[in-house]
Amino acid sequence: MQNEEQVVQSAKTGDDRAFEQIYEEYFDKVYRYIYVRVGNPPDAEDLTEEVFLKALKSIGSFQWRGVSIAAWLFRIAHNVVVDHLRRISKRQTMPIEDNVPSVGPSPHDKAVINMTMARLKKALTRLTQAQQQVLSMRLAADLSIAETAKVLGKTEGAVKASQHSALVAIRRIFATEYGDA
Amino acid sequence: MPEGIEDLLDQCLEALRRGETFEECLGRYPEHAKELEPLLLIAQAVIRSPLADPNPELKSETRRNLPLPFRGPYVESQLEDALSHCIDLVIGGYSVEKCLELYPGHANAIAPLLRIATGLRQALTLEPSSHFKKVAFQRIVASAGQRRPHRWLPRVSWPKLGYRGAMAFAVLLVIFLIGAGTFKASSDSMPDDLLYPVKEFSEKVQLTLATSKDAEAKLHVKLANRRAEEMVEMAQEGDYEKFETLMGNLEEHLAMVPILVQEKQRDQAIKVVFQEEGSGEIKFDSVRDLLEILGRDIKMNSARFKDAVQVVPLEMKSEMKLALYEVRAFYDRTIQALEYKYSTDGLDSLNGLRLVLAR
Repeated sequence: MQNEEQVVQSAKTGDDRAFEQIYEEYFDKVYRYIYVRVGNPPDAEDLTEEVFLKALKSIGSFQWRGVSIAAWLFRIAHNVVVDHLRRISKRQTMPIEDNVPSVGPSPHDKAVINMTMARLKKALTRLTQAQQQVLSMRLAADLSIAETAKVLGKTEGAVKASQHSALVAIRRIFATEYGDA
Repeated sequence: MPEGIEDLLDQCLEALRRGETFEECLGRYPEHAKELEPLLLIAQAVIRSPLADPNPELKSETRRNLPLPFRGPYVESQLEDALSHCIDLVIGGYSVEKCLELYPGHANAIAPLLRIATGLRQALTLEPSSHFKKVAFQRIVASAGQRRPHRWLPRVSWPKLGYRGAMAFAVLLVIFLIGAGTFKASSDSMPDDLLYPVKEFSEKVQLTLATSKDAEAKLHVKLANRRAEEMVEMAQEGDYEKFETLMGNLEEHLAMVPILVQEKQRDQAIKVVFQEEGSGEIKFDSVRDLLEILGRDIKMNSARFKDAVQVVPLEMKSEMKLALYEVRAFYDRTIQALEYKYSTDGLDSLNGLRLVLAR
């Protein structure tokens, strides 16, 4: 996005095109973050829409402090997800559906890739909420350490530590359950 | 004050670290050279040996196992910094190997974690449908209630006739201008035929005039199926560009189906709450019908594409195989979304909506 600060200022004054640029830049990232947290595409779609609706309604109050608008948007997304999870807390597990892209060089390779991906997703669901939050922001939404820290209200060091411990935990799950490392 | 051999050895070792040669150092202390030489040789051998470098993983692991107050942040944070930096670089397009070269001391510890991170990143790459993005944007802008409808679908104002009436009028006008026979004949046309634009227009009209959201959803499924037929035709003619366009169009039609079902269910929930419909229950019959049709179509189109792989020109074979996977994925995604709406969870969330509306 060209000159984010300028785009945000225009969006604050009600410029549709400027808001559309923010939407285009962040929609996929927000969607992926939410998808990882809630585990199914229909909910992810509904909640992503809710995030941008809230963003549009409150962008007038957004204060530019030199931090990417990503932190602000993901803060909204984080709250929307937390509310959603609270509403459906009676559901014990939310396995991430296997939406592995169906392309691969051969059926055998494809099967192996799909199996690994499915195991990775399964392992992800066994992490703590804090670890899942960090990995989904870093790996699904491509947020930087600084942005992730801002959204979660943690220090950058804490985010790095969480990221490290999450990946070590997944490695351990793989080593224990599948004999891989 | 006379210096002992230990001091001279220490000074020599320091000088060697600074880059002085062995001979230069011994030359400075000729009277102790005989004594110093074997000590320096041993010291140098130890310094150069890779055995002298502690395994960074072991070092880190040992520190981690120490009682908390002694687990200083230095080694841990260095490793975590290196990992974070490498993840950022990999996200930016660097290879894992290239990144490990930057941190040789941490390579052993980082490599497996980076492999997991890249695998996860790949597993989590899930794109929302482009059609959903467009539709959601329109809804968001409209819901915010303070902006114009979006410009990519300019709203035509038909104050007297209404939009549907205007479309019906437009159809009559087109039929009058090009003739009813031509209009009917266009239904069998293919994307490379002259009459194909008429067919596209006719489909848009049908969608606009659909009497209900159920009917519109079914029409989208039917049109997706029609696009699949046309894709096979275009593949046989080797027209890759049209083949691609048709696949995008097929995806858009299927993406509309769960959106329409959801809108219908919301409308229904509102009607039930405000007792415009007496039963007090939300019906799922139309979802079941759609699931049946989609289940039948996915089988039919898979078979159709598999057969086509045998007969399309050589340059289209791999495209056709890829399309087989992709089209199946489009159908699977639509079916999954509908199954969710049809499931207990879907019913729960719908009933939740009813409760919210009833407050």
